[in-house]
Amino acid sequence: MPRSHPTEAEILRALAEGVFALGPLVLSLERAASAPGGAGEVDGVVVAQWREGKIHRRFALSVRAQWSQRSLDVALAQLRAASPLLPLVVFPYLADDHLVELERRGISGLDLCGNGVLYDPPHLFVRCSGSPPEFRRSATTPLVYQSRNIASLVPRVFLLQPAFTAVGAIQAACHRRMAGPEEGSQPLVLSTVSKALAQLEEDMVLARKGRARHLIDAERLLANLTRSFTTPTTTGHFLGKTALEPAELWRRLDALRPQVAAVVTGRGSAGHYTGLVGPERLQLYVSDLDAAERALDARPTQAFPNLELFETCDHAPYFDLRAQGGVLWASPIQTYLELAHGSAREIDTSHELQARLVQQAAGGGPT
Amino acid sequence: MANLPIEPYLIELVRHADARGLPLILAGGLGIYLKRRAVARLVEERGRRTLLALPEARATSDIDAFMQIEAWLRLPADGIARFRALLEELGYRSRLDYLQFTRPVDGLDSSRDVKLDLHARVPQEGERAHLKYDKVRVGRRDAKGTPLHGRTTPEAFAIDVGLQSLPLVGVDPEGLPFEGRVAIPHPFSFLCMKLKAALDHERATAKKPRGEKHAFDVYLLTAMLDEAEYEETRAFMRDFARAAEITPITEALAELFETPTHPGCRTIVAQARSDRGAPLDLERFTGVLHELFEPALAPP
Repeated sequence: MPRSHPTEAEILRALAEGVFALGPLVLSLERAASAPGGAGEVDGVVVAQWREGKIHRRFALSVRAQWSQRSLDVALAQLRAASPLLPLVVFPYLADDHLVELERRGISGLDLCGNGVLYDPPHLFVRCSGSPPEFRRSATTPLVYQSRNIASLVPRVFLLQPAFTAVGAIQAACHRRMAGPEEGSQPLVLSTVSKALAQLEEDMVLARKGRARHLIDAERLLANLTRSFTTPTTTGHFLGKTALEPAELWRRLDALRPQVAAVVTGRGSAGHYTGLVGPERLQLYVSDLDAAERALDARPTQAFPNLELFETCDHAPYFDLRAQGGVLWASPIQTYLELAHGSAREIDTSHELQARLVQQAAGGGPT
Repeated sequence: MANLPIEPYLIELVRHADARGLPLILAGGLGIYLKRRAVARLVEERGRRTLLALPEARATSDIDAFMQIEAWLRLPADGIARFRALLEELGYRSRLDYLQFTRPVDGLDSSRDVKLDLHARVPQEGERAHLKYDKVRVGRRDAKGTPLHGRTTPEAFAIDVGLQSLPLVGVDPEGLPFEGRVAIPHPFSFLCMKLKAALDHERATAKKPRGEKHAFDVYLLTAMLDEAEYEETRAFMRDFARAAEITPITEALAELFETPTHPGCRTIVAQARSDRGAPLDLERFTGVLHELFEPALAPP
């Protein structure tokens, strides 16, 4: 079982209790503050030594309980104001993309799981990665980006409309774009939207001015959604054949609404948004497998199927549907996310869609 | 896929049999090999969709052939006697009871002889006036002097339905070019024959290593199906669902190919070890096989 998420005081205590290593380096806490986060001072000084102590470097330490762009920026500003030493920020866990970000900005960082990067060019560069997190997932992957969580509709809506005057307007914009089944599912309530916004502000993808919010970093938002994306939770699967022509098929699905939701999957929608040829069979997300199967007169077969149904009651697949010619296509966001987690060719194509989504979020036109 | 050393002799046989109005149905490993080659070409050139990715076919040096039943029913002078004469003309000698023949290959030792096995389905009610048969052979009642037999093959009950035709292009042993076609059984009939052969192999107390190819051939035949063939196979299965000869076929399905861990599938995996072709999809293979033979598996 992963350990519970440590506080900053617990991180500092853990560092004070022992000598630790990062690759060939031996690290020790030379001096620690009585309590972390003191104004105008660093949380401690860490010494990194190698070649049996013949060479060493000292780092000004700041400990942070959770990774976010804002917490990194705040830590860095405090360290630079308080000490001339090289900055070192310690988090409970650093994922690969966190290490890449630290490297990109030339900042040293460590975690309590064995990952880190120590940086003092041109004398020192050590990077250790690959150790799994020892803490609960929520510590590193905020719920707001997790595609199975209804809160993830909030960051998605900012990619479609980058500015809102109030929280209520954001909630309303989400509701307008939701087409999933409501029965038995958790609606997107105002408090969920507010929590999501707080996280997005913490991650510096949104900025707040009074009650208004606007998107400031679409690329980062999309990167966070991509990192946390998982395919929808499926409660049933059907592979088979229907003799219906597309127009009749969609007419029958339309007749099932609003009790039963149906939409082409993101992968299946790839051809609608990009030049990629999609799957040979029609792939749909449906909220009620039996009802859809019956309505489409489909028989199961593994041989040359022309229809595949995935039953899911997640909200994300039914969010921001695009109707054209009677067909309900997945949102370009859902399509991008599924392609970004697909085959090499799909990943390649996803970059094209990613660029269009970012451009659109910046006001560059519809996707 | 390369041309096999036996192909010139097949071309020679097909050329002469066609010229005498006695077309052959090419079955066995050679028929499967040629079909695999033709299907691969269609996949590449015309984007034909096959049920599964195609594994490689086994090379073979034998010719297994059926004469169409209509040829057996003709008067001997126009049918089997004419075919016997043709075989003798081409240098084929009876090796076993006028149903297995060998043709020496010039300059090579006898182990490289071309082997021809003739097969025949069990004669039906209306055909038995002219044909005699037992568990081993089928022949004409009035073919004294120039006997010719087909090995009795009950599982070939559907050999005459839905025959397919493959291009056959090359040269005969004399170097004469040939561009024609050869008939092969429909996948339904091919599958019935190979399922039975696989069952016989698995049930045998002393297994012959060569018999392992039959299970693999079942996989390859299934993999090569296109959508039209799949539907035709299901239709033939509905037509023959209550035929007595279906029983061993359904037994083969249950005993050998019920799931990917059943003995037939294990044999396929062992056979495919040396194959650098497409990976096996046994889950789908067993699923489709049961879909195909569903009408015979359902209670009456």
